[in-house]
Amino acid sequence: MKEIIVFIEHRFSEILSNSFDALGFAYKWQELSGSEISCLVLTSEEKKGIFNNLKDAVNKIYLIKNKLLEDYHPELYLKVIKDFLKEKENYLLVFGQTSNAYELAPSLAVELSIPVVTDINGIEKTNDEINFIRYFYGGKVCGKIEINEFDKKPLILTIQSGSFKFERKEINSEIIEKEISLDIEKNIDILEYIKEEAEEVDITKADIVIGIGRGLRDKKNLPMVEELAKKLNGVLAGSRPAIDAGWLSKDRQVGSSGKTVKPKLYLALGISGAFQHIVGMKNSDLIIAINKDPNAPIFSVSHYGIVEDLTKIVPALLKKL
Amino acid sequence: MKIIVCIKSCPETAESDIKLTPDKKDIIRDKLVYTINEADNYALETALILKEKYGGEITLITFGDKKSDEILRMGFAKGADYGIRIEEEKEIKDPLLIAQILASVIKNLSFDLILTGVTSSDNSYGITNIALARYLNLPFTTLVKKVEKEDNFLLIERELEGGLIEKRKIKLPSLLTIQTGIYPLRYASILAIKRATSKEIKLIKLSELNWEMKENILLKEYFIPKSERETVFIKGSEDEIADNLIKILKEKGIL
Repeated sequence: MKEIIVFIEHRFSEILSNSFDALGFAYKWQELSGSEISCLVLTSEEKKGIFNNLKDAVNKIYLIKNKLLEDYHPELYLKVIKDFLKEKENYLLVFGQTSNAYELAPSLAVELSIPVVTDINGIEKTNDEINFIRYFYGGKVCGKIEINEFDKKPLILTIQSGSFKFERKEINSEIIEKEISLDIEKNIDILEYIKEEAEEVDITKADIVIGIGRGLRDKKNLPMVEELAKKLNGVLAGSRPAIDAGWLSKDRQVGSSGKTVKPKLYLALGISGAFQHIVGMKNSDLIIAINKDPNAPIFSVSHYGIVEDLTKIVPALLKKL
Repeated sequence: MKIIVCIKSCPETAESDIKLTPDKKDIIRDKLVYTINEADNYALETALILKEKYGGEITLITFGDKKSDEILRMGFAKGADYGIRIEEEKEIKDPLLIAQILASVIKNLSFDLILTGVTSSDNSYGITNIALARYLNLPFTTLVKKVEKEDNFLLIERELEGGLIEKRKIKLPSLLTIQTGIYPLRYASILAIKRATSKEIKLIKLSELNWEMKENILLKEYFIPKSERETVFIKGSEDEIADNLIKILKEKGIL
């Protein structure tokens, strides 16, 4: 059976939560196949302590060390992971779905001539088949994917955030450390990290969040939702299309590339509910969605749904509040 | 600067009713409206802005059937100079294979920069773009939110998790995947759209190209995801719905 190798991503000395999604998948894979779980950590001697969190939760931890590997660099990481995998025959390499996985997973697949599938949110095993499940068409449809000659060849997967829970298991870990030398010509320099300037409102601290999406259609409809937010003592937030359209600032974005909120009420107005948005709000206490598309995925996580145009319902609500 | 923009025609599904074909291998497409993939539209916008700032030319390239000509023409109307369509004689699902096909065409073109969207709105793999960079042996960067050119390199900002930005310097030629929202999108004028209808599109047949790989990703079937919750739908007139909503909010202690 394939060995599963989880690539552990870290930033500022902390493991990214997405890597725990990948570990959650690895546990599931172990249940299905009985295979061992390895973790691959690229780091430096000084920073190697980050792996402590994984100790005795997986079978093997590979620490590959060099001062230059402390922070992610696409060309260096690609080279090191590729060299590491060259010694392996049949494996499943798994990433959490991160900005960096968008770079590493496809480029490794090309370099190693092996298949890659991204954003997996389920796995299904029948007698002699393994199917991977992921969303298509913004979450309106799921697809089962079969990999050609899966048993014989390595495969790279990335795991959709929030789709596999990491519940720590006790497994004695073997730790394999290796200091390497690195000498490659670089075409990319990472200059610095900057935090996007925060606004006055922190949407993660609000009890009532009113989320707006593409269904708002026009900036001229913004005042009506602003008034609703005010009357409900809530804050406005939005899905990516609302941020891209310039209706709201970036720090009000809810979802995998924005913030995660858990308010007492999340009122989703004209949000279709792409999975990238849903992971950021589905644990809210009460979710009410207004969307004119009865099949919008947002309804699948909503307690209450209204199939209507928000620009009709919001004014009716305002009159009564 | 010579810029290549890879674009794709996708059905608009965010606000459309999606149903599966009886064999569950596809969605029913005949009533769907096709348009340029959202993220690719931002890649095109970025190319147009770079051309305005630094001069040069823009070549659009797409892999698709006849209806993809429409997005090439829209690109011409906005200011792109050339358009190439690789005729999709058979449907290919594996993004690595599509990347290989695109690479076999692009390797014969002269360019400084390739721009693509981050993902497509239909399959959302986000694989084709970076795989293309590797097949062409180019440096790459994903999720770009800002680009500036200096001599023979670019200064870029890239989106990371949790509102963090990574600043990078990347040598040209290279490939960038552009995140949605990087710049406001422009609209083409009616006159420009008219003019674009007569512009030539270079057609390349799949059979003329060198690609060796076979597809490794097989779509067994689609299914409609189950609802995670028993959603209660509130119906009635606008007034009745508003009354009902207020009642629920009061019951839950929110009002």
